[in-house]
Parts: sequence; C-alpha cells; structure tokens
Amino acid sequence: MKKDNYNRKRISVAFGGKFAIGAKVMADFFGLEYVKLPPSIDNFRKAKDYFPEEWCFDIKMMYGDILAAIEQDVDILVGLSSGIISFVGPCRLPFVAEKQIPEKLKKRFPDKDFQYLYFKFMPQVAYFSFLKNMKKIGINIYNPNNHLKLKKINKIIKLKFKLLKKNRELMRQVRAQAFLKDKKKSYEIYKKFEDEIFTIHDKKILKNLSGTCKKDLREVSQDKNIEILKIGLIGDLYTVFWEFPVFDLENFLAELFNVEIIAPYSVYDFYYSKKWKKTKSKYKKKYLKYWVGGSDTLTIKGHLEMIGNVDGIIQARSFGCMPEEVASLAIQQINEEQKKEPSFMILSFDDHSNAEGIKTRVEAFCNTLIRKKQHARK
Amino acid sequence: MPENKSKYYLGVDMGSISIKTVIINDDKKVLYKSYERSDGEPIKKLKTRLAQIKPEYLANIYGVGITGSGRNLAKIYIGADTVIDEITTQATAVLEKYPEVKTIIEIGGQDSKIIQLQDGVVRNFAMNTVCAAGTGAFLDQQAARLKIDIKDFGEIAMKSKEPTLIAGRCTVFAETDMIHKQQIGISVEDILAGLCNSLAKNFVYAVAKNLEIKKPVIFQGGVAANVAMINAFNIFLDTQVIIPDDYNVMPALGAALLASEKNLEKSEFKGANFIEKDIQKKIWHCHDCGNNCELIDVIVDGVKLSTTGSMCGKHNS
Repeated sequence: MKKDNYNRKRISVAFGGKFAIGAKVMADFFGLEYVKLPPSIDNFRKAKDYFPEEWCFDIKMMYGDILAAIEQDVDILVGLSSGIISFVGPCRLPFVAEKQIPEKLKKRFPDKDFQYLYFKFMPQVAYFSFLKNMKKIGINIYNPNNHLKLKKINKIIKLKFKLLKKNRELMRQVRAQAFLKDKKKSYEIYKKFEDEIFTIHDKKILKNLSGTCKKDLREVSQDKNIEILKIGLIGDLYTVFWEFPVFDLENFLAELFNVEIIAPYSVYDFYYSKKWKKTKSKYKKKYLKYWVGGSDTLTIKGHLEMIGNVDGIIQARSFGCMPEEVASLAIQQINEEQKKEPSFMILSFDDHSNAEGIKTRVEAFCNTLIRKKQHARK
Repeated sequence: MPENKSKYYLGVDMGSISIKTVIINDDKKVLYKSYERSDGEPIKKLKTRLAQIKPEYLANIYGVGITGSGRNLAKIYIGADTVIDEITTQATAVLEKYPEVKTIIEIGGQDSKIIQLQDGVVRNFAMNTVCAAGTGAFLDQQAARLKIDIKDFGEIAMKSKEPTLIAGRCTVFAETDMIHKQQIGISVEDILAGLCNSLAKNFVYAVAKNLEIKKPVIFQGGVAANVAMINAFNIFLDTQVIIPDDYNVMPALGAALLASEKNLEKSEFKGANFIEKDIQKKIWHCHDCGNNCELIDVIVDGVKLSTTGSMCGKHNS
C-alpha cells in the first residue's frame, strides 16, 4: 500500500468533482492524505469495461472514479450521492452508491484492501452522514476538539466555494468581452486561482489570492464595444459537479463566440445558499410534487431565473439522469407558459457523446441567437 | 481591370459521407454544383473536385464558406472566410430561395435535422441524438444488404402495393424486422416502402419530438433523392413537401451565400495551386492525461500546418 512520508491513510472521493475542494480540507484537518481524481474520459472507458451493465452517466462517472482510486491504492473510498436510499424519486444514484457499489466492489476486487463509505451530501443530512462516516474511520466525534475542527472546516469550505463562485463569475464577464487572444488568458487566471486554493486553508491567504485573481482578471484587455451573447447554463453536470466530463462546453462556447455564461447556481449555492431551501418548496409545489433526487429543483429554478435575462438557455445533463429528465419536462411546461418562448436547448452527455455533433449543436444554437438578435434590430 | 472582374463564391459542405460544392456569382446564381460520395477519402475527393471547377471561377473567388461535419479540417486545407454549422447554412439557402417555408426537414448521411423558420430566421431546431436510425447511412446499408443500387431504392419502393410494418426506432431492430419480413415472404418493394414509412414516422417522433411541423415543409439532403421517402413524408405529414432544385447541395449553397454576404476584397481561399500540393495526415495520441486524445497533424509539402483533436486545447494549433 502506498503511503506518504507521514504514513497517513489515503482517502479519495468518487464522483467528487468540484466537491474535491471540500474533501481536501476535511482530509487535511483530520490527518488523511487526499488523493485527487481529475475527471478523464479514460475513467469512463474503464467503468464501461468493468461495469457494462450501467447506463446512467452519473453512475458511470462514479464507477470511473472508483476504478481510478483503486488503481491509486486508496485506503478509504467515499461514494457520494445527493439523496437517501428510501426517498421517493427516480434517481438511482443513492441506491447504487449505498447498496450496489460495495457489493460489486467486494466481488470484483476481492483482494483489494480498502474501506468503502457512503456519504449523503444533500445539504439537509450531509453533516450527520459525515459524522457517521468519521466514526467508521476511527475519528472520535465526541471529542470537542474535533467539533471545533469541523466548525473551522465548514467555514473554510464555505469561503472557498464562495470565492470560486465570485471569481468564476468575474472571469465569465471578462472573458466575454476580452479580445480573442486574451480569452484563454482569463480562464488561465481563474484556473490558477482554483488550483492554488486547493491546498491552502488559511482564510487570510485565501482572500489575498482571491484579490490577486480579481486584479489580474480586471487587467485583461477588453473591448467594451463587443456585442456579447448571454447564455444561461443549467443542469447539475457542468454547474455543480464537473467542468470537463467529456466535452469542455464552457470553454468551447466562450472561445468561439463572445459568450458570457450565466450559471444561476454553483456548488456554493447547492451547499450553502438558504435561497435553495426556499426554492425547493416554492417550485416543487408548482412543477414537481415530489423530490425526484439530484438537483431537479435547482435546474427548474435556474431556468426560471434565466428567462428574460439571457439570450438563450442550455440544459446540459447526463445521459440517463432521470431527475434531469424530469426537470426537462417541467421546463417544457414552463416554456409553453411564457408569452415569448425562450430559446432553449438540451445537451445530453455520456461517454458515447460525439464531440463534433455537440459542437455543431452549440454553434448552431449560438448562430441562431445571433441572427435572431440581428433580425430584431432590423 | 479588377473592378469589372466577376466575383465568385465557393461553398463546400464536407458531410459525413459526401462532399458538396457550389459556385455562385454576385447575383447569387448557382453556376456550378456537385455532389459526390467521399468514400472515406474526403480530402482527396475535395481536391479532385476542385480541380474540375473552371479555372476562371477559382481565380476569382472572393469568399469561401465551409460547412458540414468536416468543416474545420476542410478549412485548414483550402482556407475559408466563413466556417459555419449546417443548421445556419441550410436555413440561409432555404430562406434565399423559398422564403415562405416554415419547416426544413433534412436527412443526410449520418444525421437528420428539423429546423423551424419564423420571420426570416431559425426559430428552433433539433437533430438526431445518439442514434443514426433513419439516416442515409442506414438506407445505404439496407440497400447493400438487399443488393439494390441505392439510386433505385425509391423507384422499387414506389411499386409497393401493401407496405409492410417495420420497426423504425432503431437500426438494429429495423434490420431484424426486415430480415423476418423477408423470411416470411414479403416482397422487397413492400419491405422498402414499409421502411420508408417507418423512417418518416421515426423522424417525426424521435427527431422532431415536440417541435411543431408547420407548413410549407421543405425536404432536403441526400435522402430527398428517394421518391419513396418523399411519398412517405407527404402521406405522414398530409402535405406536399417541397423538394428544392439543389436539394442535395443546400448547405454548400448556404455557405457560399454567407461567404458572399461578407463582401470581402480578398478571400482566405488558398487558391487552385494549393490543390496540387502534397497533403499528408499524421495521426498520433497524447498520453499526458487519461483522455488519450487522438490528434491529427496536417502536413502540407512537408510542413506541419495544424494539429486538431486535443480536448484540452494544449496541442491544437
């Protein structure tokens, strides 16, 4: 088993995506070594080989991460899901993460020595689920010091997610109006900041780094006369979980057209926004009677918020994700209710996604919006 | 006297199974058009095709528009002023010639599309997603399996008296169904007509889905050459679909029109001489991360011109 110089236990989070930033803070505070799993298509390919029976892309992503973590000899593997197994709804992820994965791993990797933990990361139960799992890995949750640590961890994670959200929004605005040669630069400034804060947990340093990122972004030369296209990006795939699962959607859009991506929510909102909790009951009553898992209401709310504020809306969803499918149906109803139907497109992603096909759809969508704008002006 | 010189615009549609080229003049008149199967060698075919265009046209190109799934690669080879998606080019060509049209149905080699038009712009569109059922490639396959020339497919199907029912949702199921129908003795013409009917239904249910098919409807793309498919759409949509004169080159025409709109003094077109150059491709893999991207280097006369295919953009140039 691989061990670092401090002989720490190695922990990794499958399906972690952007949550890895939070998981790293927790691991560092409790003396564990966090093994980061960058998303790669190779992981999905392997998942397909080992678990060909799975068709939901989210589940395949989770299996892909699990295989990558096993290859890296982790001691503790955490499976995530935004749901609870007994809940009403079509999302299969809680069942798979809690029941199927441990059984399948036992059968397919009988000789591997690691501990699998299931963590419900939905905001309402995340804390209790976390405490339960800490107990399992031998951390005394009754120790007051550990409680103090948890409080601090929570504050740092919240700050990191908030700074990422703010800087990302700024980067999106800057990049939309940046000269062609500087579009990439804007993203690189933001990405550097994201990478830097991964290992830093000091509030003051984090704020300083954020300030530098903002300053650098504001210095990027922009053409204020450029007409920009505002595109709302909804669906949990690119907003909450991953950035680059199979297709670099946001960078493709931003570099090809003068597009400002507006994502109505981020991982910060998913976890910490009080607005999200209120949203749930409000939109559920009208468009969904039950919680169907995942970020169904977030997608619906995001869509409603975007109508009238952007030129077009893209719902990027995982192929086979039932909550997102349900959200699409609700969105269809919402669009029909509008006086002027918004320009809306669904993009479905999985490991079979043909990049050229996606590019054509995205390009056609943007060109349609540009021509609509030109036509309206005439 | 350059100011009196005729200006020509080249449109190229590098599709999945065919290459379409169009030359128009300043009056938007089609002076030359060609439709050719690429047979897996699109660049070689494009070179051959361009070499057949009148030198007078090629010497006075003031705009090149490229569309189709191979548009970015074709741009590297011949140079372009407009590189644009097929939806926009199809709509541009239709709106130029048939401004009254409300819906475009396009079935090509590997994809099918529906485009809604309203007030002179695209209102909405949809394309087939993860499945190629109902596209030209599938009809090609079935024609080959039944040992029928694809050009005769429509005529044979039109002889049908009693089209049979074929499952059109999925190519695998459709083929299984067709084999079964052959085994029980149903005639080839009834099977082909049944296939066309099921593909028309599949288009409406699986591609158009929630999009309303408003009339007048225009049907274009390579599959619009198939009279039985036209007939199936006429019956299923209860209308007479319009088949444009240039039905199989409409995206190329749209690309040429868009290039002409730019009113350029000089085109990016690399000229007829470029056609003679030695063009090589080198395919390699980047193993820097788990994506293992397949990259393509384009080498012209021994000099690397570009690299494409890098998902993170690191190697693209």
